Amino acid sequence: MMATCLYVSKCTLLQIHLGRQVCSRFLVASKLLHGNQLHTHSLNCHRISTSARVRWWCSAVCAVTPRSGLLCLVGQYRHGVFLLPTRTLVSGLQLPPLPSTEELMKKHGCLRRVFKSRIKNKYILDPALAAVVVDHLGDLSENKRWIFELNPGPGVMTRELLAAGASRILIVENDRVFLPYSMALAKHVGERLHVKYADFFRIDPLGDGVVKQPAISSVELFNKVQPAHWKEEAVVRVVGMLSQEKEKTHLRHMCYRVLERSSLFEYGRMELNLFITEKVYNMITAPPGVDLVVYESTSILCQACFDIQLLLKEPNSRFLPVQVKGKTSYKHKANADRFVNDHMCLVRLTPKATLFDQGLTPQNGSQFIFLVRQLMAKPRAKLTDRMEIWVPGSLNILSDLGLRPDMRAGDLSPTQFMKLFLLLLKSGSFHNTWWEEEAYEQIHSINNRAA
Amino acid sequence: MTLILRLTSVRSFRATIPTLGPSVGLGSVWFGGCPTCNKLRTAARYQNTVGFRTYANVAAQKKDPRVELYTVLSSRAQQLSKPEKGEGVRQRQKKQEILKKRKVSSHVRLEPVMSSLHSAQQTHAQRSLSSKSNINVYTTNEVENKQTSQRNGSTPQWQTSHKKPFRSTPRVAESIVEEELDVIEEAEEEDAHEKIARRQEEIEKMKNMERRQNEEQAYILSFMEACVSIGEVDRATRTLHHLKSQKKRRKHLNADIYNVVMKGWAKQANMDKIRHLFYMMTKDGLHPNLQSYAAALECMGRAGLTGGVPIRCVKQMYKEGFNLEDIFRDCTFQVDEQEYILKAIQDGCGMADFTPPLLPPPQRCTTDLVSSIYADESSDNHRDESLQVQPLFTEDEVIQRCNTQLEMETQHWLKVESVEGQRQSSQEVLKLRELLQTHKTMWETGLLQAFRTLKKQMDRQSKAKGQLNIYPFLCVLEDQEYVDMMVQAICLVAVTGDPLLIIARDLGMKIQQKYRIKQKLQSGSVEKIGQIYQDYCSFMVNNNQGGKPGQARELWCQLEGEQGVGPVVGDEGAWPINLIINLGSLLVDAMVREVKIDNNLFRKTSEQKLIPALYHMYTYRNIKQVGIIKPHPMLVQLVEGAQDTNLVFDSSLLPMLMPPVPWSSIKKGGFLLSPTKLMRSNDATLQHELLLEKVGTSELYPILDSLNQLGACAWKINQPILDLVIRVFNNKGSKELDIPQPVSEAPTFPKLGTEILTNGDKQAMRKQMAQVRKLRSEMHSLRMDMLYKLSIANRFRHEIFYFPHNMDFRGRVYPCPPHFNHLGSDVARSILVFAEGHPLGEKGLDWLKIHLVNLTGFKKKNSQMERLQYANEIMEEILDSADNPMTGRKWWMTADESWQALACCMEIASAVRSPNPQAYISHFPVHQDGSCNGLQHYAALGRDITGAHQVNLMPADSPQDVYSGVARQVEKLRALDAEQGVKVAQVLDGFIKRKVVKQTVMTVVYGVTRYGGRLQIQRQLKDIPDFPQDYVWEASGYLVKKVFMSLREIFTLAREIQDWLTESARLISHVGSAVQWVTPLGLPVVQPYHKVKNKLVRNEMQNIILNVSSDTSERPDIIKQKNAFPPNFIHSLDSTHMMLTSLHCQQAGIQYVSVHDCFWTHACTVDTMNRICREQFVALHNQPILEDLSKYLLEEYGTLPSELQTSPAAVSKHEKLMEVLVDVPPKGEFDLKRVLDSTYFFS
Repeated sequence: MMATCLYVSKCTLLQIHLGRQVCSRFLVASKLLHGNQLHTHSLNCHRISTSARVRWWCSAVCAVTPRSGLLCLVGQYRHGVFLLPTRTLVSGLQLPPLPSTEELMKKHGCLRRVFKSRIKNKYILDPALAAVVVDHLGDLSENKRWIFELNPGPGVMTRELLAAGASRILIVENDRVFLPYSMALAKHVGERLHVKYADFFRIDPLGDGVVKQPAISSVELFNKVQPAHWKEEAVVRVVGMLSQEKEKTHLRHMCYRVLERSSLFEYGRMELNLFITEKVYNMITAPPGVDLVVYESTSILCQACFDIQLLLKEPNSRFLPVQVKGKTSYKHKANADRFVNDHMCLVRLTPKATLFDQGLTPQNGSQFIFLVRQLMAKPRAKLTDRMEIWVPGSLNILSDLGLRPDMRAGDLSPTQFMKLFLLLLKSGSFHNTWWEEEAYEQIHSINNRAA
Repeated sequence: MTLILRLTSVRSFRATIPTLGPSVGLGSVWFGGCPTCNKLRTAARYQNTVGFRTYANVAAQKKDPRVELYTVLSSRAQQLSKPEKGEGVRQRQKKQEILKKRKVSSHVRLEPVMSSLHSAQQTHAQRSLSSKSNINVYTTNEVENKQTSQRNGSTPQWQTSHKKPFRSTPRVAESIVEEELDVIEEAEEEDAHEKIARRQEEIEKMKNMERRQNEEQAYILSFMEACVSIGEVDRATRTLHHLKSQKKRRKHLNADIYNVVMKGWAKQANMDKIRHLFYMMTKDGLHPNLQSYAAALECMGRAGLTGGVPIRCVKQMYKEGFNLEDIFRDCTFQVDEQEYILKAIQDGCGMADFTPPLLPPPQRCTTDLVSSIYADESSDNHRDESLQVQPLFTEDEVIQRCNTQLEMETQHWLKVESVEGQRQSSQEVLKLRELLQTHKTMWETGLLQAFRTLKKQMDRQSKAKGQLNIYPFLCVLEDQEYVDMMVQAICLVAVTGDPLLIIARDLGMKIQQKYRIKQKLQSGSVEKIGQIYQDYCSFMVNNNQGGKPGQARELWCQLEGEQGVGPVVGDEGAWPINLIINLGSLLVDAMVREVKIDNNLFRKTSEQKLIPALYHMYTYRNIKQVGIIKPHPMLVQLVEGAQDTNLVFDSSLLPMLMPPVPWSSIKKGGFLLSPTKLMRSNDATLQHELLLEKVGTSELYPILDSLNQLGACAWKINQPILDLVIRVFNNKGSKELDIPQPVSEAPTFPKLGTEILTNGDKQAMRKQMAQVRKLRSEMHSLRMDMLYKLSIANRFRHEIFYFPHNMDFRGRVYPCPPHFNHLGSDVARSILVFAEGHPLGEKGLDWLKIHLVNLTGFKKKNSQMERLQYANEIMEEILDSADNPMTGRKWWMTADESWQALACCMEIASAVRSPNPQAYISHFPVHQDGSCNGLQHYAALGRDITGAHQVNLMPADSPQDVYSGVARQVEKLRALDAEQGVKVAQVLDGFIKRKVVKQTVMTVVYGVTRYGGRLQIQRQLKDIPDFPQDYVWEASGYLVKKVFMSLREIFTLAREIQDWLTESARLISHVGSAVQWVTPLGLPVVQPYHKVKNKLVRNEMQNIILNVSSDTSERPDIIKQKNAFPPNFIHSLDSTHMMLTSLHCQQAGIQYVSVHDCFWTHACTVDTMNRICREQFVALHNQPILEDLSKYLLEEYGTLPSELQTSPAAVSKHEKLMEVLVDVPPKGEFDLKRVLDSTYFFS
């Protein structure tokens, strides 16, 4: 084995601005090198605070094998003479060069600033940001798990993922324009990277019955994945951004699929790491009964289905295209606060392992959705009124749950909804009524629309 | 503007001044003679920033008999002028009482000093103070002019009034009038002119109904009207006060709203209230209009007031620029209103000789095209005497049937026996029927109670605060009627659930309809109408089809004049949509809460309890969340199982028993009582109506007359066919014969298993489910539609009946009853025949045979002789079909229009078998169909020789078929492509048939887009079994391109015209207007496509969002305006052609009916009709249609709206528009006259 030594900097100490996580990755990498019995010279990280800023001083020499590339230096050179790239990936096999951000923006209209127009996807073109994101995803170097990367665009994130040691990546790209980038990358990396032209959010459409690209059937997308049991650890990690149009709708449909355990969730639990807008994040994490405009049926379904974990919050301006919105003037200041939308939030949505433990089954999942949506269509209506019209005699069920009689539908928490539903199931109120069929039909016609 | 304030104390005066704002600053104040005046004067000085001039005791010095009257009036007025709010109210009331005790009344009048007012007016004002009326009286030189003119004229009404002494105040009034006139005359001359001009403008406005545009106003107005109609004028007044006190609502108040309330008080002869309302109005800065004065006069008439008050009122009227004749010309009256107004004028004012002006003599229509029809002497009446037939009814029958019709409409609905219920019902069905009946009674009691509670609650709400709510609308009908409506609605909810919006709207509409009928009944003119109707009918029946066009209309007007029916209330009382929906959803809410069903109806499972039968829930089937009302499956099962024997129809959905009321103006016609619109429009679009009103009734005579002609056609049922259809229908329908099957025949839903399905299975199941669902609901609606049709036909089985007609905004004519009419499907057409019969005559039988072959569609490319020959060849088959329709060889079933073919077979059979076929009396309608009528008009417009040849404008030996022509052309292009190796072209080899391109060619004229055409072709290709299905999508795309190309080649000039029209429409709508034009027959057309506006209707049950696309205040929808203009324009032309043919057919005395571009008549008169049809086509296209259009558009859109003149984009677009409009497409060489000889033009 020939070891290539790479001398990065003889220089003493460079003043580099680094994120904490990046630095820790640095340390991990150096450890890895140790493990590979390669020569590592020195790696020092210091933290000193000059004035108000936190800065890291660091110097490093790294070595790499021909097959596995390793980062050599991260950061931004600030005042010195050397102008190091923000992040250099050195590999035996040279990865295709990535054009600069400016060039990309020139070439692809969909990356340029948009004024008020609807955008479909947002992209990360800033390697530093990509690195940060990858850092937050946790350990990626495990061999077993697939990583689905959604709409990577030119592939900045993909490079980071590769650098972080991901071994099986499937790129699901819904824009033909960017396919060549991913293809080129896949050629270099070989088995570690697969590319598919598909739209992850238009999975399993019904429509005419013909799946037209970029819509895709789950069977095709998951053909390389071994289905896992629900309780097992997630087999696939999905990384990407929620499609910018109809974010809420896509999230809701994810919930439907979890509750029915259909489509992609037939293959076990998926870990979804998605960038969503702050507004939607606030929606899915809204507490019950506080703000009934924000707290809606989708929030309940999301909270019932997923463990929601916020990983990262980044300002909108770091994603391309930057959407320049016309000024929306809110009449009340409260509304302006309620709908802050300055950041993108990276959230991890993991379907709850215990979801189907208490009586919920994939068969009656649609009924639960139906119940939630019907009740939350009028969140301010008194719960008892609504319930009495549908299920006469459900008052005692409500009192069994310990719900106050004057409670509004929007005051129930997701767990309470679930409990209510299970009790109603048990009492047989739904059995053999129009309810069952209607619920099934409705939810399915919705799924139909999702395509 | 005159402000009259009556103040009771200094403090209230002080309090009032600031609220009056700047208008007072200009004012002058007069204080009446009373002890408190000194105080007031000081207060006024104190408050005064600009000089108030005080005139105290002026009145007191004058000893006038009317002063006494006035004091009485004013003290009474004080009592009623209750202050509005809380504490202040009580305080003021106390003070009033104190004042009353002291017998003191103080008056302050504030009047802004107009710049043009000089000393003369002040003196005048002083004088008028002497009259001390709170209806202020002025008189203008207008009055003077009037007087002089009348003095000189033949009817010296005013003069005689001088001679006639007043009852209570002899002579005084007269002298004062004279005096005042002298003083004011000169000073006010200019001012008065201005005022008169303004008034006239306002009258115009009033006529235009523009006030209705504002929905909020319409709501308030409807509320007031409803209140008044239920006799709660008090509530109306209270609400008026309440609204006035609200800043937001105040601005919506207008004179009409006041007028309605005033009218209510006038009915009760309560002059004080009216006076107060006048006062409120002027205080709000509203001008009383003609109707206000009419109400005041009416009230005076009722109260029997004479002397000063009515005189002053009239004088003020003149001063405001109205005159008495206007009242009778422009106002609408009910019952005896007119009489009382007349009384007030004749007795009250002492103008005994005053008579209401006569209606202006009907004007002549000036359109050139129809000048021959309306010529005075129609000496050469081509009427065929042989066509004279026996009248359809005897005198007695006429009277009886008229009464039945009137009764039916009074009742508003009619129970019709369902044809489904006719068959033997099993034990089970009977049991279910009984169950349903018990449930219905249960619902009725429950609903009645709920309804009463609701009413009470609303009553309280509106009474307590004077709020504007739904209460009066819950009172306009009897409680039981509402409940009946609700119970009916329960059984009609579709299995899959109906949107709340639709159910609520239907309910609301029904209530509105019934309310309007009730109002008409209340207005008391029903007997008169009934009498007129009888006279009219007996005349029409005896003289059917024979008359001159316009006769029916003139006759009606004449009869109306004789009976002395003035202008009646038109369509104005329409409720705004939010009101209708709110009203409906309140009832639906009650239904959802109250309607219960026994849960053990069909199976015994648990303890018996009542569960809701209707559910309000939300569905997400469409993109939006839609609230629907869903019936419990058990309810559906019950209703379906019981096979209800009765269907209930509104009388406006049924044919009429006697000829419909002729359209004599744009508001009157159609049904007797049920409101009918001349021009159909969705929502409450007013733009068409406004446009029609602008044109004036006389210019619309040809259009009205042709509608009348079409409506006057008598129909009857072809009973053997009806029996057959009903038999097939009750025998589970038939797919082949196009009789819809019951839902029970539909595939059922796949069962939901408990086992966990695999992914693929689930998907397949979902797909299946969606398909089944769609299929079932389609089948259900088709089945119901047919059931309605057949039941109505069955109900009128032995009757002779009529369809009133109206038109859409392009002038296309439709019968009003929607379910069963001759415009319907093959089945509906086959069961209708003319009630009048004519002997077949020489050529009649041949025409019948040709008609039969036409119906089969077998010999499209053959000449008429060949068709006739073919019919003779297959005579045996025809007779067999006629004799054994269901058991024989069933030749008729192979025809395109099988049921009509069968009917025709039967007619031929009986004609052939009659001893003398020529004398056989035939009732059968024979059709003549335009071959691709849209393209015919295009070809004629462009004088396009090739095009004209293709669509049979040119005489030819055999009919030309444009579809085959296009198919040939496409095939040529395809062959070229195939040679060059285009894959799709090669695949399509041998598949390009006439049928594939037919629909697209046909619809291209009507503006089908590439996408739509592609779908049509795709459907056709899918039906071809041999065609490789993988290529369908690609091939359809390829073909549609080629079809468009070929059409362009064949109809070059037509496409040029279409492009010109499209481009003009695009630019017009870009500049910001809706496209508008006038047909050669003078019908104004405007395209009602505007940007969709979402309108939120809030109510407790659920907020409903309406998409309104016809709001004229929105910008036009450019794409729709542009794409729809060419087809709409062509439609307006074909409707013109149809109307012209109709008018001339009437003149020729032949029966004529149309289904757009398919003209029907008796077999013996086909030739006459064909001649007229061709003549009229030539006459129509001899008009410079496109040039006229260009001229009209230039005039209409020649000037850019001022607000757009600043925008350079709009200006450049406008310039471009002008260029395009001037550039009328050129014409070809085609000689129009040749159409006259073309056999296959309409065949």
